[in-house]
Amino acid sequence: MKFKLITLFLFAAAYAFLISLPASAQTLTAREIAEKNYLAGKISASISEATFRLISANGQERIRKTSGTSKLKSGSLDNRSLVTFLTPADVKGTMILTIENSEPGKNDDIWIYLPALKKIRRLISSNKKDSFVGTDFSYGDVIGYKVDEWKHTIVREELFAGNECYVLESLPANDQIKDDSGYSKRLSWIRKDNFTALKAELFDLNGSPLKTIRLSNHQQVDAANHKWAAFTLEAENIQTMHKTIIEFSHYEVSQKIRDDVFTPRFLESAR
Amino acid sequence: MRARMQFALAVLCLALWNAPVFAAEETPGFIHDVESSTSLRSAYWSDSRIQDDRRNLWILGLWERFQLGISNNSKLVMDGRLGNRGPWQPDNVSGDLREAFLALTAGPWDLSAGRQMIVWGKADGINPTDNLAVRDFSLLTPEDADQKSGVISAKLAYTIENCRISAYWLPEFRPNKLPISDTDTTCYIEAAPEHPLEQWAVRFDSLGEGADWSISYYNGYDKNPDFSLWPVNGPQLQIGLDHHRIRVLGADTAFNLDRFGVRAEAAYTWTEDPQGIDPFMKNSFFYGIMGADRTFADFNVNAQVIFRYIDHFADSGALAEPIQSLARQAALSNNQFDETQLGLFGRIGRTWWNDTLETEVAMLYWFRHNDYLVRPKIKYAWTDTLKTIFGSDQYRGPENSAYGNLKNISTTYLEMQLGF
Repeated sequence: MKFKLITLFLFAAAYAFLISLPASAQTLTAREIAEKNYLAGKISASISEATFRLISANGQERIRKTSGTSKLKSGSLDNRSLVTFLTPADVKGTMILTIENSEPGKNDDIWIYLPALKKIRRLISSNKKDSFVGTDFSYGDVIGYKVDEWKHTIVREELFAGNECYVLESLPANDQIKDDSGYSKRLSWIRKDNFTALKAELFDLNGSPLKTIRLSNHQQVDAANHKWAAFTLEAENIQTMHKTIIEFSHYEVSQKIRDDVFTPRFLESAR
Repeated sequence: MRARMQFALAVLCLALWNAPVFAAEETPGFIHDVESSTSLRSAYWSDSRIQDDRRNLWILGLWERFQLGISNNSKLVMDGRLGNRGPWQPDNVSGDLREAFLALTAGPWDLSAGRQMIVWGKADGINPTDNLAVRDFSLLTPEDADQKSGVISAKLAYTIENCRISAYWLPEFRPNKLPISDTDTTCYIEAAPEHPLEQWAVRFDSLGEGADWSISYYNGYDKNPDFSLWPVNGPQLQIGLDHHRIRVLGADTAFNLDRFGVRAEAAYTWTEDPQGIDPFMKNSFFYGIMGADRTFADFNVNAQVIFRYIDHFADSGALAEPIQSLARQAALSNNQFDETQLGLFGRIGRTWWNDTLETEVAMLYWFRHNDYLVRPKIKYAWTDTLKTIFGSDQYRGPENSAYGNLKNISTTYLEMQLGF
């Protein structure tokens, strides 16, 4: 009887200890890690300014300055984002509006406003693999990948850039996702403490290494909701040796952004 | 009537000017205090875009766009160009104030007034509903969009969620400039319409999740001229370029269907000669275009079918000379040479090296007479500010066809653009 009581006490103590551990230390499935990583990037609303540096294999640099605005849809985790190019002259005034649609059967919406044409043009939203305005990031990299469109596996856990990370392998759930994204596999290094990604290795449709994306200089931009954002993003195309570095000079979480900013009408009126 | 409209517009401007600004809400940095873009261009063109046999032209141009953000909900926009249009002679230098307008926004209302370029149409390259902006087809510039210019107009728009209704008053008339010029035997005389103040348009458009579409109506003067024969006065044949009233009902749409971007646009134009009695005046006609684009292995491929139908078509071959020649020329210029026309527009494009190099070939082919236009173009950005564009317009086809008739304005060009 005494033995049974001690056993019961030990089990209870062990259970209490386990549930008191931080979430990161619990056993999470690969899908749960992918979902937490997806949610970590969902910032309610933000205003930012960034510099895009496009660096060719021979070191030649092209620089684009942008302003950005993002806001989640009301009552949803779908993101809306507007990027405006401020310099150089040949892309100045170009605006890209992306609206994520996670409802089944609905595609994302992407519009581009080209000042030379004075027209808004709807882009084919399934072309996620297309380069985002000449950078080494694709539209898919910018909009983000829906958790359930990929099959996730924890490959290993390791220390990366001084942080304990899960290394997650994500394979496209079907051929269409594979073709649309242009990736046959994604490997992501995700921090255990806040679930932000530090690095991603991306493989082309033949399975060859295509790109490496590094995210650094993370700062907590929304302490109340435990949201972090990477202030430096670097994408390097391993096949062409071209790379793009995006550095945020200003990033501010703001709840005062008007919803009508994320409409094609705004692109027209802002011309 | 005119004074009343002007008064109403002034009151509206004042009301919008004093409308509350969204003080508690933020707008992203699309309005800066002063923004300007300058483009210096130097180009060689093998042939002019006018049927005048001028060759080996060196063109210099200055293009400037200026925007002043006056407040959070108002701005002033100016856009103009200056350059030579042919050999270096004072009369070949010309400028154009393409836009100069004030735009105000207050809640769901948008008002803009001044000379502004209003561009309609969701199809690629060919837009049957695009009747408000003016186009100079003779201007030597690689981009079609740069041939366009604005007209003085007032636009008032009201937005409800994804839908918007816009009304336009267009008191200025400016004609399109066609690729024709005076010769030793022919002189063209531009005839301004009598009542330019009575031009207006409305458009309802829906831009939102899933699909974009619009319905539009334009009631004003035709920017493309009809030809008329003037009394003989001297050695030259005098041909009037008359602009008659048209009414255009149009619609367009753009949406994604799986991996295809589908675009369609159509318009029916009522002219002043709906029964097709006057051989020099355009007949009422239908103009439609529909197609899709898709990316295959990094190449964006766009294919669109074009259809034109001329109401009460009459063959100009039955007319006596010299009326027959002129009517034939008018029909060719206005694309009214056949009762029905079926064409195909295609564009294949690809960007290379992170958009440093852009290549494309566009082609428009008319089936009936096997006439076509091919336009290859290559753009290379040496730096962020310096760009080279090399391209060509090649018109081919039999003489009695729209593009065969334009064979001698086929041209090849090389342009350097310095932008800052």
